[in-house]
Amino acid sequence: MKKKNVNSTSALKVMEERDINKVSSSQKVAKVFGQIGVYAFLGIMALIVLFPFYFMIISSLKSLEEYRLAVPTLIPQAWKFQNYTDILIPYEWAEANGWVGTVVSYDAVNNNFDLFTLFRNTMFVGIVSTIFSVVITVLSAFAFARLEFKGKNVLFAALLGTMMIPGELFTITNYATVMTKDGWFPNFFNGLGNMFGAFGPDFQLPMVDSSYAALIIPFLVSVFYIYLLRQNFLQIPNELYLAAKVDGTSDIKYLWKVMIPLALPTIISITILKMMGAWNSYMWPRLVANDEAHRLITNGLRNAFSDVSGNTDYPRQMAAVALVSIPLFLVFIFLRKYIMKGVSRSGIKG
Amino acid sequence: MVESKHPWKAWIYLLPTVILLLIFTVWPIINTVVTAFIYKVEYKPATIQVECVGDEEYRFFHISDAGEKKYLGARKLDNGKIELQYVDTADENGIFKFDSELTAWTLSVDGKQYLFGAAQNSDADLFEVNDETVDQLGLSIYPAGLFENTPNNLSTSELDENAGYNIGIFKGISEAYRYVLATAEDGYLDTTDVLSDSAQIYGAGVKVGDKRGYKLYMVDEKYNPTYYLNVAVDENGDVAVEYAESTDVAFVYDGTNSAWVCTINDTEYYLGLDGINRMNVYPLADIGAENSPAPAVMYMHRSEASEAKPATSLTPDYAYRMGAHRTGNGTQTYVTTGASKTSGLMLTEDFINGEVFSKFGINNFTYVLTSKGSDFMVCLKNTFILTIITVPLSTILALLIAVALNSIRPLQRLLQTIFFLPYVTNSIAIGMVFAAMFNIVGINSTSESIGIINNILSVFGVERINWINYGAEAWASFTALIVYIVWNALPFKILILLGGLQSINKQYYDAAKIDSTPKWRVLTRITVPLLSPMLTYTVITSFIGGFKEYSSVVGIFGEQKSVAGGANMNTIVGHIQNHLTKTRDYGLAGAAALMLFVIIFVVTMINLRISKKNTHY
Repeated sequence: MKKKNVNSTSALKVMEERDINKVSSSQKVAKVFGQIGVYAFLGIMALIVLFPFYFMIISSLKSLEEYRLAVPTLIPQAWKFQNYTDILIPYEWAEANGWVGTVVSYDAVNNNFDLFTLFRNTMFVGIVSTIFSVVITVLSAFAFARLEFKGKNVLFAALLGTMMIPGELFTITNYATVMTKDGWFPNFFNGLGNMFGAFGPDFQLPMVDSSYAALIIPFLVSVFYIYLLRQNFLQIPNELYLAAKVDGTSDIKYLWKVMIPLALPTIISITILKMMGAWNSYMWPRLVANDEAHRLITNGLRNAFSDVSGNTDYPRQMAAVALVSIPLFLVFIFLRKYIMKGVSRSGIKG
Repeated sequence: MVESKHPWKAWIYLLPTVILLLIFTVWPIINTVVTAFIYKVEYKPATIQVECVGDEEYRFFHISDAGEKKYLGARKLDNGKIELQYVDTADENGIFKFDSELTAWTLSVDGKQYLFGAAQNSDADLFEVNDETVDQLGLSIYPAGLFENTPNNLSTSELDENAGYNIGIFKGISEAYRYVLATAEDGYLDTTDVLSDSAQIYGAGVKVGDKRGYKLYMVDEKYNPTYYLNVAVDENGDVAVEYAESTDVAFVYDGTNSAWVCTINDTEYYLGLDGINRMNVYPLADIGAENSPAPAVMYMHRSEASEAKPATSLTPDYAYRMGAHRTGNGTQTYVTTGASKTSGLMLTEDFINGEVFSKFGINNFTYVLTSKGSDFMVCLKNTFILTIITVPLSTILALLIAVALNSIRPLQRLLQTIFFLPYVTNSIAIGMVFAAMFNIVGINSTSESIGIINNILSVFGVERINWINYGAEAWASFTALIVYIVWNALPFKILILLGGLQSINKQYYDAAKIDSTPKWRVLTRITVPLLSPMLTYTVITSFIGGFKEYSSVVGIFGEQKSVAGGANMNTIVGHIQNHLTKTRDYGLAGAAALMLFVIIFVVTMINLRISKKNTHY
């Protein structure tokens, strides 16, 4: 009976649509022109949106002389891939293989962009902070979604309340505790690092380095991701949990076997956004890890390829920018669905 | 939900979150808010200079680091009180006279005489001259004296010994001072030129007839009176100075003779030093006569023995430090300016240079808002301009693109992906691309690149514009920044608005189609109202984001966040950052952050209020 009803309404809809689509030929012409207008508008906007990327790519493949031409070339006259190889291949390596002048040019104004170190630092910080962050988020979201305890609502409200406060308000004190030499934070982690000295004089867990700790630990908790995941967990029927309880399944097993698989898309979104956040982070790393050994990629990028007098080696700079952007584009291409879904739900960058 | 057998188990799951939040969010917020109200005062002693403006009339002024001449003077407060402050102009209320009766600097306001001094445990101030204050003079109100400007040569220990008045004789620049030496054992009061051996004589204000005078006394380490300077009269009627446990003799400082004078049995005597520098009293009538002992003059203070000056022999246009003795707790107080935070008059507890103290108050806020050294107002203006322009611009553009995207079928996915592309970028990195696009390589040369944006504009006949290079005008720099911010803001808004559009029931459009409603009306009457929750959401988030704009500025203009020879492009968050990295003043950073929070809060509330009226759910 119900089924039939549905059929009849859909049939009605089809008829309606047919009626609406019965339009005169003049209207048809107007519609075509309208569509052309819409496509033209979107096309122009798309070109504007894409133009910086195009400019980045072509500039990164030009020689400095060509880049400086009064009438710019739309496509490089001579493709200078050395802009990329100069950044990617360390000088010692190139010299040992006899690549200088061929594969690499090394005529940069100031090649102070140590891509390898920056990349390693950023990946280390990104991966460690993402793993910890996701674990913490999942545990908290589960507690808020499924477990019953005193003060739950108050705590959750307090958690959401912290979201209203701009990060600058706690960044200042975090910075003060992290930066000052006699602050507890560096002392604690240096002390922890010294404990590992028992394994040998050179043994040091990178995580115990207070600069890495400062980059990772203060921002492990993301209240918004907890909120996001909790909402997702709440959509999973409670009956599953009750059934699991009846079977004597432990909470942690239920979380691992049922909740996480069911909420996997959201967790993946969170993971990707968190990684992207680490890749793009600028302000906090600039404050706490602005030294050669710990600098992250965005901070290293900003000051690279310009010398004291302000002369900038634009093609090489653009090559570096492209190298920083390419991983993001790759992630985007392969995980577009998760990113767009995550962004539209969370509405925050990184 | 099931009632768990072990409710505490939930806390195990929450433990990392709660601990990390407490340590890195809750405590820092509280701490930052408190820090915002703790301001630092860097005491930088002010050099007070004296200028003679008339007969026995002096003005004190201080030339600040900025080169401003600030006069010391009385300022009337709203409640009618008179306070010592820097006055803008040297008006009537800034003329000081040395009152030798009070041995203090005074000035008159509205016919009333005020004394410049410091009360115990308080700042420098003006005291109305009346019986009460005069009785306190020297005991708990310490008149301000003048000091030579040699702060670096003075150590605190020297000063402690020197707290109080030294009575002695001034023998001229080349010779040392002689000070009263306490030699109570042999009954004589000797003098010495070794300063550390000198006893300090303090004066307690008393009334002597219709005049005001002082009981002069020595103090122990705790500044309690030990021996009073007494004048004993023997059977022959001879008078002699001695130290006594108590005294009825009060001395008055006689400005005309520069001498301390007391009256014994209706005869006036002055304190003088004989040939072997013993102190005694001599008839005042003999003062100045040949062979009569030189009078002991009162020095307000001395810094270097060879340079100290009696209070009455002030030379105009000479630099002095001003201060008040505060002997009660063993420290001294000096008039100084708090150089970094306040432009007002401050007294330091000690003779310190450049030391930093923390105080509680709203000075951080007033500093951030009003000080010339703070560019907060510029940053606030920049942030407002950026937000006011970019939010509507990007929202309208995103709405048009989203509507257009929603109305097409082929290529929709591809275009949607393209429009989302700016989102997955590093805002510093792409900011650098924009900087390159706007940048003119050869500013004056015609054979070098004028920047790709200028190249494109020249196709439309636009003269080349200096966007971000040296000496660029503010509007041009802002335009470049706005273009980038809008470009960067589009993808998120398009995504949200397109999502909203796709969830609108098609029937509304069908109805409009049947009525052949014009496209524009469909947009304004159907699409926008039905999209209003999404629009509200994007507008509020982008207002918040706009006020926190930072990385785009760094991306284009670099870490100095300004155009060389052009506009300061810094934003509020950049201002906070500067406090963290440059001034290293967390109190100022906290104050700026707190104000940012208030601004964001107020703007969000206004947004919600407006949208409540216009949002259709």
